[in-house]
Amino acid sequence: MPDCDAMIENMPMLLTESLDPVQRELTHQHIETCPKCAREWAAYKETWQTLDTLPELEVPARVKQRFLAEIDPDLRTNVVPFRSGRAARWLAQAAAVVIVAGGAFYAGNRLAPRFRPTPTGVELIGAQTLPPATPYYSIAETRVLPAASINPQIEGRPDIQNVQFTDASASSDQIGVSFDITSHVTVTGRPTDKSMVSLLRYVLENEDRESPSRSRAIDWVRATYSRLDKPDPQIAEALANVLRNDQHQGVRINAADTLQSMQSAMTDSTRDALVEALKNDPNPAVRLKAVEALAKLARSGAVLDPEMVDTLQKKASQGDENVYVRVKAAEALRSIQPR
Amino acid sequence: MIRTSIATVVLLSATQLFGATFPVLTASNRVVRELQIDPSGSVWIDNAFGSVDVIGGDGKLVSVTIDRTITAPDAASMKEAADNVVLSFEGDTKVRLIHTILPETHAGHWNAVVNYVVRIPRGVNVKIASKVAEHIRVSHVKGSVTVNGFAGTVIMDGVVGASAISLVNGRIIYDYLQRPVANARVQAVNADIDIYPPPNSNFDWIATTINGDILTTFPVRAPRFSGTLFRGQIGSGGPTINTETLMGRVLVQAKGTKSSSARSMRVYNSRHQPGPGDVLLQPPEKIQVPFVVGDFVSAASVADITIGEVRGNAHVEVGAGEVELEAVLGQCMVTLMGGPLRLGDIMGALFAHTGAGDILVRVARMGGQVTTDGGLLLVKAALGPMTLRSGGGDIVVQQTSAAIDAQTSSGDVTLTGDPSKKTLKVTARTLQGNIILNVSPRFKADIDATILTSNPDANEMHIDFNGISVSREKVGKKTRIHATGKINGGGERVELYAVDGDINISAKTITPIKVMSPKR
Amino acid sequence: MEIVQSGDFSPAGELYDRYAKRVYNHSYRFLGNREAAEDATQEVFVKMMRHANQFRNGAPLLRWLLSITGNHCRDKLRSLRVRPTHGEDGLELVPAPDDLSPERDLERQDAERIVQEALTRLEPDQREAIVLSRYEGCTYAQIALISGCSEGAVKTRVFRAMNVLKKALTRDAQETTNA
Repeated sequence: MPDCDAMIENMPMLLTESLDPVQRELTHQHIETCPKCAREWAAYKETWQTLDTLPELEVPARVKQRFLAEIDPDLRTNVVPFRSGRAARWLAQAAAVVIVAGGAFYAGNRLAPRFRPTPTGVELIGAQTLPPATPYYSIAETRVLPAASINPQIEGRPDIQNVQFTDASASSDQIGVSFDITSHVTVTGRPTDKSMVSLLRYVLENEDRESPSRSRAIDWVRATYSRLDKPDPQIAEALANVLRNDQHQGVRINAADTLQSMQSAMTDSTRDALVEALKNDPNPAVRLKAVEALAKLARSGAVLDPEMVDTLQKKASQGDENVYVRVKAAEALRSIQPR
Repeated sequence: MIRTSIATVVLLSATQLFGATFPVLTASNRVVRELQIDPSGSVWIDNAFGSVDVIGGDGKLVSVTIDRTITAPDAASMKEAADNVVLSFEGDTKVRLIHTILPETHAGHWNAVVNYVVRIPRGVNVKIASKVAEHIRVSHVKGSVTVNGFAGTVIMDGVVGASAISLVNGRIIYDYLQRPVANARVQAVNADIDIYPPPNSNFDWIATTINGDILTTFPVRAPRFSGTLFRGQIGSGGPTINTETLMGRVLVQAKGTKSSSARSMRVYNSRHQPGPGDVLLQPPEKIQVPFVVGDFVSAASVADITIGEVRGNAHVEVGAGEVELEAVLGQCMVTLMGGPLRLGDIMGALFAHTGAGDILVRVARMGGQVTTDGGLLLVKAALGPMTLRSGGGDIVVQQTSAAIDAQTSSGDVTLTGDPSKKTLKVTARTLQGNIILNVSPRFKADIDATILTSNPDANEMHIDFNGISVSREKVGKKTRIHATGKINGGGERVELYAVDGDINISAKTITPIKVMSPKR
Repeated sequence: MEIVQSGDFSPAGELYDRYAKRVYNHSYRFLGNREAAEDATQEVFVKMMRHANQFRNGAPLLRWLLSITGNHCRDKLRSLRVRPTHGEDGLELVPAPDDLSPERDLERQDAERIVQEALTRLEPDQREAIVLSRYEGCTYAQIALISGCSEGAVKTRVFRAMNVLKKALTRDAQETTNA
C-alpha cells in the first residue's frame, strides 16, 4: 500500500503534470481509494485554482521611459516632460506631432536614424531646435511634414482641431492629415508609415473631438486602409477603442462597420472588443455589425477562442435578441472548427 | 480495479499529411478500467475530441474502454502527444468523472482522437461533454442523460430517463424503443433534430425553429403557435418533448411511417397575407433575380433577396435577412425584423423598416417613411417628403428636395438641401449628437434651433447667415442655447434640436445630385 | 542581444517591449507591491543592458531575465529586513500589497488581496519557486536553472510553499464563509 506521505508529496507535481505517467497513475489510483489523500488533493486543487485569481498586470509606460533614460544619459536632455504649466503646454502642444523627445523616439523606432534637433527651416520641424525657455510660434505658420520624420509616439494629449484628410491621388500613394495645434500642420506620408498610423490612431481615439469629425475620420480611415493588404493593427486597435468607449451610437456603428473591412489587421484585443460589443452594446446595429465581423472571421478560418464561441452560442440561443443577430451568430458557429 | 494497456505503433506509408511528404506515425493505446458505482450514481464523461458510446446493461460496475489514437509526423511529436493527452479518473461510487486531458496549445503537429466505450448499470445517470465527436451514442439507459456538444451526431437509442441535449452543429436523433415516459429537452443552433417514437406514443410536443421546418407524421391535436413556439399534443399527451433549433429542422416521425409523408406545422400557403409576428413562421427564401414582372410579394423567416427591378409594387416582409431592391416602379413596402436594407430607385411611395441594421436608399422619388431601431439611415436623394427615424445611428440625406422630418436617439443628422429649392421645411432632432444642415447661400427659412447641453463650452451653434439672434439660459443642470430668426427674408420653418451636440447651418455652394428621369 | 553586447543599445526598446510584462508581473508577485515591481522592472532591464556580456547567446533570454529578477527581489526583501513568517499577519513585514482601486469588483479585490497576502507568508526561495511554477509555467528543471539550485531543492520549496498556501487560502476561504 503506497505511503500517504509520499503520495501527498507528489501532489504539487501532479498539479503541474510533472510526474511520469506511471507515478501519475499510481498517485491518482491512491487518491481514489484513500479518503484522507482525496481531501488533501481537493485542497491542493482549490489552492492552485485560487492562485489564479492574481491578475496579469500591464506595465505602466513610465517604467520604459525611466529605463531608456537611465541607459543613455544623452537622451535625458531631450526629454520634454509634459506639465500643466502654460509655457510647458505650448511646448507640449507644438511638439506633439514633431516630437524628438529622445526616449520615446528611441524606443519607437530602432531602425530610424537617431538625430539631434538642428534648425533647418519650415519644412522639417522635426529638425528644428526645440526652444528651451521662451517658445516662439508663428500663428500664421503653415507647415508640411513628411510622416517618416515624425516620432510615432505622441506624447501628452495635444488638442488637435479642424482635422481634414487628403486622399491618395491617381499618381501618388501619399495621403495627408491636416489639423491645427498652435498652427496649422499637414502631415503627409504613406498609409503604412508608422507615424501616420500613430497620428490617425490619436485622431480616432481623442475623446475631446466632436463626433462629426470622428465619424468622418472613421469613414476616411475605412476608405484608405481597407484597400491595403495588411492595414496596421494600430488602426484596428484605435477603432476597437472607439467601439468600446464612444458615447455616440452612430460613431460606434461606424467603428464596428469599419472593423469588418479590416480583418487582416485584427488582433486578439480587437476581437475582444467585437465580442464585448456583441454581448453588451445597447444598439442593435452595433451588435449586428460585431456579429457580422465575427462571422466573417470564422468563415475565413481564423481560430476563435472559447470565449468568443461561447458568446456566439449564447447569442444564437438568446430569445430576446434581434433575430438577425441570432441568425448571424448561428452562421458564424457553422463555420467554426473547434480546436 | 483492473488495468491493462496495449500499445501499437504503425508506420504508414508517406502521405501529404501536415503539408509535406512525411512518414506518418500512428500510435494507439487502450486503457480498460472497471469502477464501482452506486446503482443510482452518475458517470460524467468529458472528452473533447472523439466518440463516446455509453451502453446500459445489467452489470453492477462501470466498465470503461478508452482507445487513444495519436497521429504525428515524427517521434518527438508523438512523445509530446503521448505525454500530454492523458486520462483522469476521479470521483467515487456516487459520481465517476472520466476526463480526457488535452494541452491548451501544443508545439508539435499531432492529432489525438480518444474514443470511449462505457458500459454502465442501466439506472445510472450519464453526463457527457464534448467538442467534436464523430458520434455520441447513449443506449438502453434508464437514468437521466445530459449531453453538451459542439459538433457531431448525438444518438439517444432506447433512452428511458429524462434527457437534455445541447448541440451546435450536426444532428440529434432520438430512437425510442418504447413510448416516451420522461421529458426530453433538445436544443440546437444549426443541428437538425429527428425524433422517432412508436406510433402509439402519448406526449406533449414543443418545437421551435426559425430557418428550418417543423414536420411530423403524427396526427397532432390542438396545434398552435405563440410567436415561433409551436405546441401540440400527440395521442393523449404526456411527458414533454421540447425540440428547439434555430437554423435546423425538427422532424417527429412515427416508427413505421415514411419521412416523405411528414407534414409541416408551419402556417403558410400562397394566399397567406403576412401579418405581424408570424413572418418567422414562413419558410426561408433566397431570391436573386434581375427583374420581376408585376408585383413582388414575399414573406420569409430568413431571407436573402436581391432583385434588379420590380416592375410593379413591392411588398416584402422578412424576419432576418438582407434585402436589396435596385429599382421599384411602384410602391415599396419592406419590413425586416433585423438585417440591412438597400434600395435603389423607388418610384412610388416608400415605407421601409428594419429592427436592426442600416437602410440605404438611393432615390425616393415620392418620399416616404424610413425607420430603423438601430442603424444608419442614408438617403441619397429625397424627391418627396420623408420621415426618417433611427433608434440609434446617424441619419444622412445627401440631397432633399422636399420636407424632411428626421430624428435619431443617438447620432448625427446631416441634411443637404437641393440648391434649386429656395426653401424647405426641415425638422431634425437628435437626443445625443450634432445636426448639420447644408443649404445654398440664398436659402430662405424661419430658423428655430435649440441646443440643450451639459457642456456649454463644448457645444456651439454655427449659423452662416445673418438675421439670427442667439440666447442662452440655464435649464436645471443644462444650458439651453436657442437661435431664432429669418434668413434671407424668411421661408418655411426649419426646426433643429440637438442634445449635447452642435448645430451647424452652413451656406455652401452645393453641387446638385442629378437624378435621371425614370425609363418608361 | 548580440547587438547590445557589441555596444549598440538601439534594440533596448524592442527587448523591453518583448519581456517587460513578464518581468513586471514576476516582480509584482514576488514583492506584492506595484511600485516596488516598477522599480524592480526598471532595475532588471538596466542590469540586463549593463551586464549584457554575461549573457550566453543561444540561451533563453527570458530565463536569464527571470533569474536577474529573482536575485533583485530577494535582495530587495533582504534589505527591507523582511523575514516572512507563517504568523497570522504577514502584511506588516513587506511593502504592503497594493490597495486595489475601489472601482474594482469587491469580491475580486478580496480574492487578490488574500492571494497576495498568502504569498507574502512564504520564504523568498519558496515564493520564487511557486511563482515560477504557477505563473510562468516553468518545469522544476527550469526553476532550478533560474534559481541556481538543484531540482530536489525546487521540489522541496514548492511542496513547502503549497503547504503554507493551502493553509492560508483554504482557511481564509472558510473565514470568509463563516463571516
